[in-house]
Amino acid sequence: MQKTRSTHKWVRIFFTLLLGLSLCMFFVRSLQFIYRTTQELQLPLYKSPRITAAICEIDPESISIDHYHRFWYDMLGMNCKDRCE
Amino acid sequence: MNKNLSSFIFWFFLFLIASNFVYVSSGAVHFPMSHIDVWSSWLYKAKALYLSGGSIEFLITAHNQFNHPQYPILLPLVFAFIYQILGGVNELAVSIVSPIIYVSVLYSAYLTLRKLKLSALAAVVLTYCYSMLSPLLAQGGRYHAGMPDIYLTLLHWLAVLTIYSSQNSLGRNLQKTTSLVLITIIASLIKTEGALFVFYFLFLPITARQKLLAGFVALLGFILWEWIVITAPIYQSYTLLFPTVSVLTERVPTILSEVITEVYFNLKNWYITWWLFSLLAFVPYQQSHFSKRVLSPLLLAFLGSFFFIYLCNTTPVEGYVSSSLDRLLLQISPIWFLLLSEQIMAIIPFDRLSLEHPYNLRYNHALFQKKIVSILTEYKEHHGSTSKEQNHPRRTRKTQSR
Repeated sequence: MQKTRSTHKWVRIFFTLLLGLSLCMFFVRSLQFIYRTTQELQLPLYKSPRITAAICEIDPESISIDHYHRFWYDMLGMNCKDRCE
Repeated sequence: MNKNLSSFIFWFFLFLIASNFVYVSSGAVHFPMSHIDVWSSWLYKAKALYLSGGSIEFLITAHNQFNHPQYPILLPLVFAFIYQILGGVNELAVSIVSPIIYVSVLYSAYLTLRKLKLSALAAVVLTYCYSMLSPLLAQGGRYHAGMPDIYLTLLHWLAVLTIYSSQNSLGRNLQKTTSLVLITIIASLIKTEGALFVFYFLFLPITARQKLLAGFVALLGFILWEWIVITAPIYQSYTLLFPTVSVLTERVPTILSEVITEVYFNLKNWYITWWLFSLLAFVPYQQSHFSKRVLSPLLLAFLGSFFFIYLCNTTPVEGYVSSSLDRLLLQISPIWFLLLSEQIMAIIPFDRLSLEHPYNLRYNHALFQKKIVSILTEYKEHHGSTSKEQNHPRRTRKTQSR
């Protein structure tokens, strides 16, 4: 009985330490997030292009449905940059 | 613990959660959407719907064969409606919705944990841990704003809350059933896997016939959309087929290895969550009725369904499982997170950090017994005095008059 209790106690200590360490790691990550946010708040809002920025720099307002279709073909292996006007 | 110190820790963690909210909001307004599904499927459809005045004809054209045209259309419709209100395509407006959903998810998590009788401090610490999960941060606005899975996560929280309150309150089952029907309709029109919300109906305290009827009504939206897909016809980029034995023997090891890699070795996404979940499963503890009878079967049902879908999907599973599993696990996070929270609460003496009197899941049973004993004692005393009063009405009247 004594042994079981002490094992249980050590299991608790183990998991408490594990969670404590996780919390410390989360805290460090939160500090990184806060630092990054303060840096980002100085940036201008990302107005345009949003959707297409991953591929090419054109104004999303001017993207027609045909453009979107082209993006799909671009994804299939053709060079997107050549297709951006 | 000192009350002031507890209060300080509570506000400190609340500050960290708030800073996470600012972090995801900053991501949503400062960075372009980099997830391929967002710009090529969800927002593409939103823009096409807006430009075509709500017509879904564009889904039928051959150009659309690669962007999952058969996916439910509710979310792009909502985004197109936002464009309509703003009078033009404005992807920033759509991006801003994601952090709002993120904070709603966190509030629902906190609220549910409080309903499960956790102290305010324990609930806020666990909510903070939940808010740090990378898939949630990503879909909350860090590069994956506009993805639909976070919407399903919020709906799962609402469904769990509905089931919990239906199990713990007498009457008002019609109201709870109606809420769950609405939640399922919305979920199934956001993503196909939203149709799996019908599992929740199994745990409503209503008759089997009512469950069947409610489940059918809840699936009407899904059935209607599937009917449109078949009759239009909209090209289906993948379907479900019953696999042959050779396909099964090929797929099962691939799926399992990709699941294990994602869950245990993608520490960037899940930290030690799944290690903790697995290790704690070996530690015996007194499971609450809710997690034993509702959450555990629900988790098994959802995981089983996902496994079945991977197995029967016409898409090759190599790379597909690892690229989509994090989103599926995020969707059902309300279920496994509550189970994990209960395991943690059973092991760690969190009640010492409580803002209020110690009352967590470990003590539920003992407190329940105590409460029953006190109610019975009160009832006995009351019943005894009532019977005496009935036996000696004159004496009672005299006592009252005195």
